[in-house]
Amino acid sequence: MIRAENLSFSFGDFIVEDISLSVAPGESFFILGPSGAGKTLLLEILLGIKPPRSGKIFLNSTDITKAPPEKRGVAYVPQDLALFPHLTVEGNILFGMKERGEEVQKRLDRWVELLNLGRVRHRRDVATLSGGERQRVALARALIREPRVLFMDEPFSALDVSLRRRIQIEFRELQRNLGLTTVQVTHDPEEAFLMADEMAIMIGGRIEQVGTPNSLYNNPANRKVASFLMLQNLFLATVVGITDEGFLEVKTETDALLVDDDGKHKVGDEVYLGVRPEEIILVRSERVEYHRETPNFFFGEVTGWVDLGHYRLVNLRVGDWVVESWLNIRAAREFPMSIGEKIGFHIRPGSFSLLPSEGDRS
Amino acid sequence: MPSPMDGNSLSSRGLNLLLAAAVVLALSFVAGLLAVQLGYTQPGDMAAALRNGELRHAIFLSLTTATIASTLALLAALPVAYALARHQFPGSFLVDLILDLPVILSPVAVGVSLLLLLRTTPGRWVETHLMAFIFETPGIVLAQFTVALALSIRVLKAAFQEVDVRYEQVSRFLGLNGWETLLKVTLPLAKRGILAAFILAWARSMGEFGATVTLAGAVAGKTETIPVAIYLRMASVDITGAVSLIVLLSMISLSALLMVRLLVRAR
Repeated sequence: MIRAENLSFSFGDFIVEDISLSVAPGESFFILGPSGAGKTLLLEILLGIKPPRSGKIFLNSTDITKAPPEKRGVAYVPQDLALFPHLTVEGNILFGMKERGEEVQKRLDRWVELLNLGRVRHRRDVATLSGGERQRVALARALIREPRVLFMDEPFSALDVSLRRRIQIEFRELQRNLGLTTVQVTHDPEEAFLMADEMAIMIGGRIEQVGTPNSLYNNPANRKVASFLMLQNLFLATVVGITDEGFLEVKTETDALLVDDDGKHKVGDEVYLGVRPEEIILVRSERVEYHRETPNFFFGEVTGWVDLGHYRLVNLRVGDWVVESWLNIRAAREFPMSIGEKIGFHIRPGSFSLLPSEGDRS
Repeated sequence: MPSPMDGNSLSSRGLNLLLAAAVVLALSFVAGLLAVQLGYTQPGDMAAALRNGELRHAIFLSLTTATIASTLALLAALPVAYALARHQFPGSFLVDLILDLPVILSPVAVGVSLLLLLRTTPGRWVETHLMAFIFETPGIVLAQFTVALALSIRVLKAAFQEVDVRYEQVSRFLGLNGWETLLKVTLPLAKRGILAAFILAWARSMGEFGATVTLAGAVAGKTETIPVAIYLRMASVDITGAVSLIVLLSMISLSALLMVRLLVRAR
């Protein structure tokens, strides 16, 4: 297990203070954040490529803060993979194996099979490998030494989308089956949600929240995390009561809504009410009467939409608010709409996230 | 189909003509320098020059001193260039600047400075107890070494900077220490640059005249390298002898340049 305590470091004007995190054995841990958040820098500090100004890093309770890279027993796959261009495919995979012999040969065979490298293992020039093959060779080279932790810096980012998804799924399976402890950096929330057991959201040099993908998706800790995780619809509201059914009654400037009680808020609290576009349920005109009594039912005026491949993003104005909603593209084709038209929609009380307002009424 | 960003469609006819004229002029000038020598020498003269004992000694002396000087320069430059390419330390800018000086300083000034250095107390001690340089063959090597060193550092630094530091980092995490990484990753990846540095340093040493003549003198048959021999032939109005050597030196320089170009292209 790897643990960082109160790490502080700087790079030029960029200062990062007091970062602590811990990764359990066998866990797939992600550091997720937008570009320029300091993720790669944090990874390099954890790896020991750059020294922290203060703080400590432990690997299985041994202090490795000052240990040289080769003594740490961890592996590193950088973003560009850094396959050695002067070595063959096998030369690359075996680079870190000081001895040769039957035992090493067996290990090589095992990793070649696990990573499906049989077709390319005898290639002389790594430049002839495809993106996916390069990926696998870099992983084989890192994993054949059986490191205690595998660190990766956006290693799948150079692959085209369809291949990237497939390799991510494959790698996630491999990581689970072998019980590998991995620490990865990415700016792609989908990648982190797909592959992480636990993740830390890093924004502007601070870790804003650590948790499982589920908990982060449903309960972002604050507005920064919420907007980074594509929770676009955020409205300032006040808790005004609790209904007999146990829902929180929440009032925005124009409307009252019913929201699942997360047990953290009391009457009078100011909160941000967040709801994801995919949680907005549009109602066809012939079904409107049926939904009149549904909680959180509104009419919104269509102000515009864009078709984004497999879904349509529709903007609806409700009073002063603009609500973004997603419609599956197939459903969108069968859903007649025009600019200025009023469309009914409802939001389930369980679809909301309640975020602290941080005292900023804006 | 040519795109609007294609260089050809952006450039104007007048500018193209001017550029072509400039290239033709420069080429004719340099090619003229080579061609004019052919009027003064025949293949027979070349052969005769190569049979002449004194000139053969000059050629042999140049080849050996340049090889020793450039090898030593390369060995001395490797760690310096690597340090400058990989590490920023207080004053590294200044160190870089000072080490560059012999590349652009007049060779005569380098020669005089070497002479003055050997006149200091430690210099005199080296002259009497270790090795004599002034007006001696080791003086040629020292003069060539000095100019080749600065050039080697320059070329090697660029070669090391081209090796992405990620390769070294990955190697360390694969269990190799700093030395092993240098030997198994950095040097092999910088191989072509190192070879190019050696060839350039060697060619520069072959052509070195100013520093050599100031430190080792122009003693016929003793410290007479090819450039010194050319100078001595010209002084005694032996044009054919001088030109034979110039043609030889030009061929050596051209081959060295060609080799460096091929190495760079092979990247």
